[in-house]
Amino acid sequence: MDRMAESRYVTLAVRGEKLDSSPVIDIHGHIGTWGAVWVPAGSAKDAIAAMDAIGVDSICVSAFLSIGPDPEKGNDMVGQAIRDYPGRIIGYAAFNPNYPETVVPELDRCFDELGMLGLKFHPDQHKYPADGPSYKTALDFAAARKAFVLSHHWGRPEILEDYAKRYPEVRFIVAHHASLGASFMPAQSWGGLIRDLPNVYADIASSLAPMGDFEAMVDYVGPKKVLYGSDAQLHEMGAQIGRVLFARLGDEEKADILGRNAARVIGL
Amino acid sequence: LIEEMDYYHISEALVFNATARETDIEAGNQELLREISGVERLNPSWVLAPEQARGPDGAAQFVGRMLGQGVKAARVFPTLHGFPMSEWLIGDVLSELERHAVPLFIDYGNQHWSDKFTDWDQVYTTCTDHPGLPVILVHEGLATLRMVLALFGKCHKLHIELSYYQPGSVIELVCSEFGPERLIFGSGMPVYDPGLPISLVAYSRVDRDAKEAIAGGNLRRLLEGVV
Repeated sequence: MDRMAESRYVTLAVRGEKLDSSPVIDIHGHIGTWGAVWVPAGSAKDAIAAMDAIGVDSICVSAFLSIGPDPEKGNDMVGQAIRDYPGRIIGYAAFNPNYPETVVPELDRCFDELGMLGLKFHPDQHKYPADGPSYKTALDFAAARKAFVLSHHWGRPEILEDYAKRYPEVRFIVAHHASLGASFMPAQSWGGLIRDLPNVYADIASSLAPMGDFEAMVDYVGPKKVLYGSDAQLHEMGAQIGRVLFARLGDEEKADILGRNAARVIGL
Repeated sequence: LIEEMDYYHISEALVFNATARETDIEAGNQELLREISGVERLNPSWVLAPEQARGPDGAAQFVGRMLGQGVKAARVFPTLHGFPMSEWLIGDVLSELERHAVPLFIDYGNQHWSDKFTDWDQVYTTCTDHPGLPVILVHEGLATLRMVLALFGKCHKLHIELSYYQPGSVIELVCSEFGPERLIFGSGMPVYDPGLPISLVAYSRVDRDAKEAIAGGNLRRLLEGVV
């Protein structure tokens, strides 16, 4: 494989032409609005417009509201988006771990009534420890449903290692892992887990993009363990996907990262 | 750098010197001219701090030296170099840059979108005290959209560079409200990955003319407007 050779993804991207490989799946998206940052185009319709321009088949979303103050209302927004755009919008169920009695009923509702397939944890937004008991309750649920879980972070690497070994049915995704070195987390340790544990994956949604770091991360963890994610509509999807399209990687590796890996993780 | 530009289909670049940014402004600015001499695809910009333009005629002399050596853009690092963009400190040289329509790139040193190094009141003052000065904010993060759009409405020569400016639907929003002229493609190479801003522009939901303006036409227009 010649990584300096012109990639067909580069050819398409510089022309702004739609991607012609399938599937292309965005593992990390949001709908709605967020107080800390103005998100002027946060609807599911906005997401679909961006996806159509690029050639993204599906996006996995949680609502900003559901990883914030009102999980039920936020989950309802995601449920509506799933109904509005079947197959294009894949839902993450969220809950507020500070109210442990709500975890299982809300997750049951999200999966059985709203059609969601994954779980989203956000320990920072909910100010709750990554190894707190509500997350263990949720992982029992995820194991029973054979679901995948994306977390903004997993606290410490040993927490994720324990989870991943205790719940082999669950696919764990480390968010914002586009680099081994530039993250706010001690990423080398996370990279080791992603590389070594069969059910741990990297989501690459990140504003940080030091040149060459992405390729180094992919080389370290292996291209089968990397999932394209954008953090849209906070970040522009069209920008985030450029990290993959222009990477010094082979086109087969890019196709894995853009969607084949995610299809396996989601269980499509 | 040229090899990297070829890979990313970038035809030209505006560059500055790392020595000028990090340790010795004067030496770095001169080194830049030697390094890119004869390389037509690289256009120089000089780093500026208040001491470059000290003295009664310092501002005119600095800008005169710039233009005399073919340098048509200036760049300031207020946070890294530890100075405010205050009129009493840097106003004279800003006036001289304004007189010649030399674009001024302001890098407040934000590395992550949650950083808040940019002094928005000073951006406003710089633009309103020098309404003819083209100002380009560099490496701003997505959390600044509230301020940037408000300033675009009040400061008609304010622009934003896109190496890190990637909030959702930003190009569509700016183009619909202000036109594509305010957006300047930048890669941040060789520190940052150009793939993101290239893809941002290429996949934006605006027409081809707007994309071409953002990708290079706007910057070329600013450089050609220097008098």
